[in-house]
Amino acid sequence: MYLQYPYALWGLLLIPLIILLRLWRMKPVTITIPSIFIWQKISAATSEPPLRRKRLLLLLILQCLGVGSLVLALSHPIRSTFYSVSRNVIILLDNSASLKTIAPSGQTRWENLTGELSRILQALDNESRVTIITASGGFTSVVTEQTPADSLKHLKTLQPTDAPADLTSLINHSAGLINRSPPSAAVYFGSDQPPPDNLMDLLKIKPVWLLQGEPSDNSAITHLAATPGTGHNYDIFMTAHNFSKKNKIGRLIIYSDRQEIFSAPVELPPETKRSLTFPALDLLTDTGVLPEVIQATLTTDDDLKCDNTVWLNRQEKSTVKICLTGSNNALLLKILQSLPHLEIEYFPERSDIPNNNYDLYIYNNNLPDSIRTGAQMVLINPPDDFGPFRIKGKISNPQISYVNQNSPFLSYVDLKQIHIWEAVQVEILPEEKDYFQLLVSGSDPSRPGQTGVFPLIGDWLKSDPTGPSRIVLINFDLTWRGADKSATDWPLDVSFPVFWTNLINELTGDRPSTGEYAYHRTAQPLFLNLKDIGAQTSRAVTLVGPDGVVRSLSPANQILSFTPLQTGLYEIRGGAAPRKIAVNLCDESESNNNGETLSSPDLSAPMVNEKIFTVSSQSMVLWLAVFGLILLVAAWWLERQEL
Amino acid sequence: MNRPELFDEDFLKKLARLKWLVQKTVYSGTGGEKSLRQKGGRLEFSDYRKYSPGDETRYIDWNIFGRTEKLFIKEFAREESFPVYLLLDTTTSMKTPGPARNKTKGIKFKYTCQIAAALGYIGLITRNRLQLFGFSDKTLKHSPVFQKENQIFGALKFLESLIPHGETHLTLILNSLNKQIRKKGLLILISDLMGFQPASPAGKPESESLAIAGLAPLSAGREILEFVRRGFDVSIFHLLDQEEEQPFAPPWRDGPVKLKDSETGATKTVFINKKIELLYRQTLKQFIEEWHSFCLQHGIKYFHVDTPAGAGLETLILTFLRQGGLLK
Repeated sequence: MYLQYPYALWGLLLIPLIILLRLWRMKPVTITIPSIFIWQKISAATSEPPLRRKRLLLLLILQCLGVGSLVLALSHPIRSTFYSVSRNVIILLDNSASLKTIAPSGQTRWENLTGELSRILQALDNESRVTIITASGGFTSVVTEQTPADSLKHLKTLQPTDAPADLTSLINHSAGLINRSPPSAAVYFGSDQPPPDNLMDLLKIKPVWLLQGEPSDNSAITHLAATPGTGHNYDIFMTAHNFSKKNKIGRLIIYSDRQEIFSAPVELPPETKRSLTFPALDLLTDTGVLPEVIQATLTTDDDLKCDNTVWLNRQEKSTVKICLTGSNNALLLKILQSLPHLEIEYFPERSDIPNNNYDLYIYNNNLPDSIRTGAQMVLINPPDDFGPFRIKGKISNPQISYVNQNSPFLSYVDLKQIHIWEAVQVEILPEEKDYFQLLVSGSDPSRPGQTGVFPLIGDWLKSDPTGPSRIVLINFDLTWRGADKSATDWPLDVSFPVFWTNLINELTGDRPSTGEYAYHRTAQPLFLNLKDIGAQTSRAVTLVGPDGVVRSLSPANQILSFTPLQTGLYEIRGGAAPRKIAVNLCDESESNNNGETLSSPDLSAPMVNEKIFTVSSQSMVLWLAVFGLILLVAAWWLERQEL
Repeated sequence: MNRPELFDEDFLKKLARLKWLVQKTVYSGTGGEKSLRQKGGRLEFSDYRKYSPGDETRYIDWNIFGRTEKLFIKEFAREESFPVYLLLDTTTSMKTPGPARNKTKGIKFKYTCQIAAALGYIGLITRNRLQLFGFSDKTLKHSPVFQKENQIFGALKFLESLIPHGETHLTLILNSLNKQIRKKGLLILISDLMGFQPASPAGKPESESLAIAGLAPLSAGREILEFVRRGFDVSIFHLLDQEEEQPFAPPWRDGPVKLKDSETGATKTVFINKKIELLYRQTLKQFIEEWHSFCLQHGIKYFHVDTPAGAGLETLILTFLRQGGLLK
C-alpha cells in the first residue's frame, strides 16, 4: 500500500488532540453553587456510573480510529495486490519488405523471425494473451489478446509486405497499448532494423529485440558506385562499415560478370565507416564485353554475406522526353528539372506544342485538344470538362484519397501529410471511368466515395485501339503558391519528387534500377517497358531471381512491373538479350548496422517461463472514509447514550 | 427625598393602594384569643358567613335572606395597626450564583432586598410597625422599629447595610427570633431555604450538625409552626435563582462536575447527563412542593419566587401577592 498524498498524514495530529480533549473533559470542572442540598438528595444517582470509564475508553478508541481512518482516506491510500495473472504478450512485428531478404542461413529474415516468435509463443501457457501488431505502411493489429495457440496460427499466415516499415507509427501506437497493459507485459520487438531511440523512449517497457539480422560483429558495404572513365576504365566508389568493436582486415573483391577483376586488402578500424575509391579499374572481362553488373564483396569472417556483397547496374539510364504546358508551371518545372534523365520541353501555350512524340505530356491547369494516340498524359487541375470526365464544381479542403492504392509508384508517398485547400470536383462517367488512372484525388469529405475513390479497373483508354494511352488525373493544383489557398502544400513534402519520379517511371516504362548509383533496393517496384528490353510479347518474359528460381511475369500491356524482394542479381530473359538488374538492401538502416541480437543480455521484460505477477492498485479512499464516518457516528451515538 | 428611589413613582402609587390581607387570628401577647378584626378602629365589611345560633340578629343580611331564604351574617373587620416582621436570609447562598450575575451581592440578595423594601413600604404606608431582621450564621441582625412612612429610608439604609455571608442556621435563628419578638403580627421570611426541609425525613434523626456537614437536611417546620401557634400570620418567600432551577448552562457540562457549596465549602462530584438533569429538576420541584404543601397545611402563605430576569418585582407585588392572599 502506498499513499498518494502522504502529507495528509499530518492530520493524525488530531488524535493526540482528541486524547487531550478527552482527558480535559474527564477532569471535573468546579462550580460553586448556593447549596449542594438538592444534590445531596440525589447523591446515589450522581455517583460515577460503573461503565463510565470503559465507555470513555471505548469512545476514545472510536474517535481516534474514526479520525485516523478519515485522515488516511484523505491521504489517498492505494492498496497494491500482487496476484498471478496471465501473461500479456505484445509483439511488435516488422513485416516490411526487407524481412524478405535472405540470410546466409538460406532462410529469409522473416522466416527466422517468425520461427523465433513461434518458439516464444509455444512456450507460453494457455492463459497468456498475445497481441501482434505489424508495421508496414502504417500499423495493423493482426492479433488482439488471443491465446498463444491462436496467435501462432495467425503468425503462420502472416507474410512480409512490399511496403517499407513504418516504425514511427508502430511505436506511437504501441506505446499507448503497452502503457495500458500491466507492467508484467512482455514486449517483443521483431525487426531487422533498430527503431529510433527517441521513439523507444515512448515504450515504458524495454522490449526484447528480436533482430533478425545477423550478429553485430559484422562489416558491410552499404554503397557502391561506378563512373566511367576513359575507355573501359571505371572509377569504383564504395562505402564500407565495420560495426564491430574489433579492427578488421578483409579482402575486397570486385567482380565483373562473375569474373574477379580486382582484389585488394582493406583495413576497417572498429566502428567506422570508410569510403573506398578504386580509380581506373578496367572492367573488361575475358570476353571483352563490359559487364552489366558489377559486384563487390568484402570478405571477412562475418556471417552477413548479403550485406557484404553489393551489386551495381552499369547501364546508362535512357532519357525521358516530357512536354509540359499550362500555367503556373515555374515550381513544377523546377522540380522536374531536378530529376535526372528527364528532357523537359516547356510550352506556355498548348498551341505551340510541336507534333513530336513525347514520352509524357503534362497539362498543368490546362487540357489537350484531344487525346493523343499512344501518349501518356498527366492532367493537373483541369479547368474544363474533358473526354470522359465532367467537372461538377469546386471542393474546399477536400480529403485526400487514392485511387488504386496498390499502385507501386505510390510507395514511399504518404499523402496523409498533405493538405489541399481546393480541388475540382470531377465526375467520371461510369461507363468510361475505366479509361482513367486517377492517381490522386481530393474528394468531398461530406460525400465520401463519390469522386475519385473508385478502384482502377483498366489502365488504358479503350478508345485507342492502336496504341495504349494512360491518363493520370490530378484534380487539384499541384503548385504551391504560398498564401494562395487554391493550391496544395504537397510540394513542401519530401514525397513530392518521389511521387513524380515514380509517376514518370511508370508512365514511361523506365528502368529505375539503373542509373549512376544503380542502387535498386528490395521492395522497390521496378517497371520495364517491353520495347526497351526488346521483347515482342510479355508472355515470353521471365525473371530469374538471385535464388535461381524462374518466374513468369504478368505485364499489363507494354509495361512490366515486379518487386524484387531479395538482394542479389536478377536477370530478365525473353528480350533481345538477358537484362541484369542488381538489387541491394531496401535501406542502409536495414543493414545489420548495430549490435542488438536475439538473445540480448539486457532483458528487462520477463522471461518466457517466469511466473508472472501483476499488481492491482485499488484506491481505499471510499472504504476508509465510510469506515471512519461509521466510527465517528458510533462514537457520537455512544456519547449520547445515558448510562 | 420623600420616596425611596428604588422604585418609580407609578409603582409607589400602586404600592400605596395595597393593604395587608390578614386572615388569620393571631395571639395577643397578654389576653386570650382575639381576632384582630374585633379590636378597635374603623369597622369595615369583611365577609359573609352562615348564621349560627347565638349570633346577633342585627348582622343578618335580610336582603340575602329574601333572595335565598338562608340566613347569612355580615362580618366586619376593624383596621388595626400590627407589626410587620421581615426576616431576610443574608447567608452566602443568597449571593450565589456568583459574580457573573451580580458583581457585588448577588442577584438573589438584591431581589430579596427589593421585595423587603416593597413590603416594608406597604407596611409603613398602611401605618403598621415595621422591623427588619437579617440573619447569617447564628447571628440575627435587626433594625429599629419603623412606624412612619418617611422612615422607609431608614429601612432602606438597613437593607443596604446587610451583606450576605456565612452559613444558614435557620432553626437557631427562628428559635432566637421567637424569643425576641413578643408582639404578634405579620412575619415574612425571605430565604432560599436551602438545607432545610419543612419536616425531617422519616426515620432520620434531626441533627443540625449533620445538616451543617451536608450529610442530612434539617427541618425548620417546627420553629415556623411555633410562630403560627403564637398567632403570627406567617408568609414565606421561597426565593430561588433561575440558575438554581436550571443550572446546566455552561460552565456546566456533561460529565464530571465538582460542586462546591457556597456556604459550607463542602464539595461533591457529580456526573451530569440528561438523566441527572431531569432527576435534579424533579428533586428541586419536590423540595418546593414539600414547602408549599407544608405551608398550605398550616395556613402559611407560601410564595415560590424566582429571581426575575427583568422587572418582575412589580408583577410579584401587584399580582402574585394579591392572588396569594398577602395583600389586597
